[in-house]
Amino acid sequence: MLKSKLFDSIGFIRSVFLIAFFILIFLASITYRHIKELDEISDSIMNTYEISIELGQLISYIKDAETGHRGYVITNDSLYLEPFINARKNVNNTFQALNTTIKSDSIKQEQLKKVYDLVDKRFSYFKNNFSSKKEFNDDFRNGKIIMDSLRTEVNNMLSTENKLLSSKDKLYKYNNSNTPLIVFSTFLISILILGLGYTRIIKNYNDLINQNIRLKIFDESSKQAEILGKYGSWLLNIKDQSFSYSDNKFRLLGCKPQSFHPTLENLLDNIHPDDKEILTDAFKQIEEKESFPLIRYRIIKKDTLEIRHFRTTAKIFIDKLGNKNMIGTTQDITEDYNKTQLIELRNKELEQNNKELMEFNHVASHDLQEPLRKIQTFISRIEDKEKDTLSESAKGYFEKIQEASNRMRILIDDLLQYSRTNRSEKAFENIDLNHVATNAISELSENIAEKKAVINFEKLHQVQGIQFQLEQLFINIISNSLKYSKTDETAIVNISSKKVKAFKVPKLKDDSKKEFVKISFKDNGLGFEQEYAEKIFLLFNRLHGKKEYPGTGVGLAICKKIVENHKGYIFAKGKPNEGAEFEIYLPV
Amino acid sequence: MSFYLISHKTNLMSTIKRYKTILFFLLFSISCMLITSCEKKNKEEKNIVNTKIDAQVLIEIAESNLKVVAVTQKAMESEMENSTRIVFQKIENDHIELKNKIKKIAKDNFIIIPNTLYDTKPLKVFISEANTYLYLKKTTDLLLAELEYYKKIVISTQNTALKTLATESITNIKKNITIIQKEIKLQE
Repeated sequence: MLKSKLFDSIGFIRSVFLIAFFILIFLASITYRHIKELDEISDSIMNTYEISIELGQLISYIKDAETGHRGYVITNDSLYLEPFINARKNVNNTFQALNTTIKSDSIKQEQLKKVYDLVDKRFSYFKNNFSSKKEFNDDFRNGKIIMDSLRTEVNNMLSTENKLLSSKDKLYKYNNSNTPLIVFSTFLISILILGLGYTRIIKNYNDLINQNIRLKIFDESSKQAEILGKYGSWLLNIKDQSFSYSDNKFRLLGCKPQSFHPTLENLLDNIHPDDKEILTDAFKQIEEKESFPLIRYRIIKKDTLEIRHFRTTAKIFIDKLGNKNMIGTTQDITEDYNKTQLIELRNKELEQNNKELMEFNHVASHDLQEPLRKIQTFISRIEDKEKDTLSESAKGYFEKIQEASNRMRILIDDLLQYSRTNRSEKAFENIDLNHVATNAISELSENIAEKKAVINFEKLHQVQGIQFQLEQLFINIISNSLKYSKTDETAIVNISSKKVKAFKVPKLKDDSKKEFVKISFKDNGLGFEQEYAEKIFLLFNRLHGKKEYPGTGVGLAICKKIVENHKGYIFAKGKPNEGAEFEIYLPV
Repeated sequence: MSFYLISHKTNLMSTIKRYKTILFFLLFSISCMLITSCEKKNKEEKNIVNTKIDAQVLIEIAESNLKVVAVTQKAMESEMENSTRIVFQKIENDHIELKNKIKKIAKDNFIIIPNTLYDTKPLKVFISEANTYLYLKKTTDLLLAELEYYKKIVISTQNTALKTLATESITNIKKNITIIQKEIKLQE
C-alpha cells in the first residue's frame, strides 16, 4: 500500500523524469563528445595526410622551378620562365595550404618556417645571369646544398607526420570500434526511459480516468444528498477572496443554480437584517483566527420572501497546489428548528402536568389521611365507650369498618411512598449493597422472626445509587418473598450479585459494553405463573385475594419505579410452588 | 461539487512556474549545445578572412619594386647632372627599403617573392636607347604604375601589415613622383 502510494506520488514521477532527463543529457553529452573526438581525430588525420602530400609536392615544384630556370639560363628564352613562375606560384599555394593546416601547432609552425627559409634561399639562387663560370658553379653547388638541407627538413617533417598518423589511426580505430556500442547503449537507455515513462503515464492516466468517473459519481450523489439533506456547500479562496457556491446553495437562497457570481459583497444580501452581524463576525474570524464557528442565522428567500433558518460551519483546507481554502456547509434547519420549538413547548406543558399530578397525588394522600384518622379515632371511641350497648351485628360492622380503614391507611401510606419515590432528589452516591441488605433485614426482623425465615447474602457489590431507595427496594422484595412463603416450609431468600456486560444479557436490549451489577433475589415461596411476570409490577395489581394475602399492590410497583430511577432493569421469573426470582440490573 | 472541480483546473501559467527549473535546465543545455557547435566554425571563418594575403599581389609589387630599382640603378650608370642623380638615388634608396618591408611581409605569410628580375628583355631594349630624360620618364611611368597597385591594395587587402605598407608607400611614391616630375620639367 505504502509502496504503491510512493510510486503514484507526483514527487516520485517528477524525480524519475528529472533523473531520466539528466541521464539523457549525460548520454547526449557523452555521444556529442565522442562524435566530436572522432571528428577531431578525423580532421587531424586529414591534416596529416594533407601536410604529407603538400610537403611531397613542395619538393616537386622546386624541381620544376629548377628545370625551368635551367632552361632559361641555357637558352635565355623567356618561354622557359613560364614553368618557373608556375612552380613558384605552386610553391606559394603549398605554403598557404600548409600554413592553414598547421596554424594551431607552434612546433610545426617553426618547422615550416625553417622549410620556408630554405625554399626562399633556394629561390634566391635562381639568377638569370652570372658574371663568371665560377659564380655559376658556386651558385649551382650552393643550390644543391640548400636543396639537400630542404629534403632533410621535409623528411623530418614527413617522419613526424607519419608517426602522428600512425598513433591517430590507432586512436581513430579504437574510438570507431566504441561508437556502435555507445550509440546503441544511448538508444537502448533512451528507449527504456521512454518506455518506463510511457507505462507510468498510461497507468496514471487510467487511474485519473477512473478517479474522474468516481468523482463524477460522487459529485452526482453529493448533489442529490444536498437536495435531500437541504444543505449546500461553498468554497472561499482565502488568498484572492473568490467565492463559489454549489447548485443547491443557490436553491436554498431561492435562486437558480449559478444565477449570480457570489462575492463577499453580496454575501449578506439575503441575510435577515437582525442576523447580519453573526455572519460578519464569523467571516472576520477567518481573517483573525483562520477558523469558522458554527453559526445559526436566518435568511429571506429571494423567490418566496420566506424566512428560513440556516446553520453554517466551515473549515480550512489546503490543497496539493498549496491554495488555502475555506470549505463550508450551510444547512436549512427550518423544519428542525420548528420541531424543536414545538418539542420544547410540549416538554414545558408536560413538566407542568407532571408537577400538578404529583402535587395532586401528594396533597390527596395527605388530605385523605386526615378524615381517615378521624374515622379511626371515632371508631375507637365508639368501641371504648359504646361497646357494651352495641348489638352483635353492629360490633361486626364496626370491625369491618376498622379493617377497611386500616387497609385504606396502608394504601395511602403506600401511595405516599410511591409518590415520594418520584419526587425525591436523585443524589447518587457509592452504595455498598451489603450494608443495604443488612439494614433491610434489620427493618424486617420481626417479620422474619415470625416467619422463621432465612435470608442469605454474601459479598454483594457496590453501585451508584440512592441509599434509602435501595433499602426500600430490598425491603419490598424481601417482604414480598416472606408474604408469599409456604406455610409448611421455612422461607429462604438468597441474595447474590455479579457484574455483567450489557451486550451479554439479551433481555436488556442494549448492545453496548456498559457494565451492570445483577442482583438476584431467589426464594422458595409460592411462585407465580410466568405469564404474570410483567403484570406484578403494575400499580394496584395483585395475583391473590386480599383476604389470603393482605396488601395494596403498590410494593412491586415502587420497586420498579426505584430501579427505573437508577436507570436499571427489573425482571421476575417464577413457577407456581417452586419459588420466584427477581433480577435487578443496576449500572455500576 | 462541480464548483470544487472547476477551482482545481490546472492553470498553464502556474504549471510553467512549477516546472521552471526543469525548463531552465532544458533550454540551458540546448543553448550550450548550439553555442558550442557553432562557435568554432565562426571563429575559423573569421580568422581566414582577416589574415589571408594573395601571393600574386605581393609578387607583383615586389617585381614592380625590382623594376624601379633596376631602372634607377641603370640610369645612375650614365652621365647626368648631380641634382638628377640625387633624385634617382633617393628613389633607389626608398625602393630598397620598400623591398625589405615587402620581404618581411612575405616571410610572415610564407610567400616566395622574386629576388631578381628574370625577364629583362623589354628593359634591355629600353636601356639601349635611353638617355637621362627617358630614364626619368620611364621611372615616372613605373612609379605611377606602382602607385596604382598600392591604391588597389589599400582598398582590397584585409591584412593590416600590407595595408600599412601600402598607405606609407603611396605617400612616398607620390612625393617621388612630384620630385621626378619637377626634374623632368627642368630637363625639358
